[in-house]
Amino acid sequence: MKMNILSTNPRKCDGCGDCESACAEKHSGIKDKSRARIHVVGGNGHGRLFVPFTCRQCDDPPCMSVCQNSAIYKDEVLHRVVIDPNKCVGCKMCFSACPFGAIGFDATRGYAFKCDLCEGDPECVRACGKEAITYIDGHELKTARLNESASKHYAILRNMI
Amino acid sequence: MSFFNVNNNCNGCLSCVQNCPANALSYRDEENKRTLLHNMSLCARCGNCWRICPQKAVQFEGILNGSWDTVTTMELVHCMVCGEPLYTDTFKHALSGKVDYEVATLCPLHKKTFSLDAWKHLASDQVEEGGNQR
Repeated sequence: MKMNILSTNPRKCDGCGDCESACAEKHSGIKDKSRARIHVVGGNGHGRLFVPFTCRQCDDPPCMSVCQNSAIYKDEVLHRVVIDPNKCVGCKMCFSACPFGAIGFDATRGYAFKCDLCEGDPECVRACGKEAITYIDGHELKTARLNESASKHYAILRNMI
Repeated sequence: MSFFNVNNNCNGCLSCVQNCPANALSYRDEENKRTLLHNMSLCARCGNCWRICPQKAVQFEGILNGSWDTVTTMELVHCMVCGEPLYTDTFKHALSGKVDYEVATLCPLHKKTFSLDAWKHLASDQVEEGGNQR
């Protein structure tokens, strides 16, 4: 089974924000970065470190478990977590529950939005000239290294709280 | 709080009741008392009662220029980094109950910078200006 995931590499990201603009334009028609589903955080006091953040399409998504109206479901075909805007009532539970701050909120229309992987053809990947964002088969990733990185990441976070 | 009021000019003629298109006005005659009744849920705020009243007794301004009523007040939870108001303590309790862990009270930006700080440890060479990366 092929299972593609969005993989970001902060070591290649230079913080240009092209992914944010491309994402916002694709989803809302305007290059307003607050409407983007991907955000680059870094620079200013963080040296040259920039990290693109977007939805991790969790296996057991907190956003899905907190949704009061069952508006969030898992699409097993593209391995993604989807918000149904017709069911969303704008309570912001998912927005507040997401540990990565990956869910956006459209105050004008009153519903939450998140990365939908552009139906399997992510615009951010195409926009990134540095190959810092790739859409690759999760099975090709070096899971041993990923696990090691994740546990380091987790240990650091635990020490910070 | 009453939105529909009449002043002392009211003589109980009931022309307002007759002319209310929303049936929001009614009355009750009991023994030697006539009581004028108004139902805010039905009232369309059209002002017909006020226009029609022969005695100029209807005080409609209160309906048009009503103030805000306090419905409920709760404890507010702020982002522990920047202090941005996030949600109420009751909301947080509901949230934590559903995910089975204590939700960190951080705004979306500081959730990200929190992860960024972890990344700083993993990519420390990139944090120092003039590092050898790239």
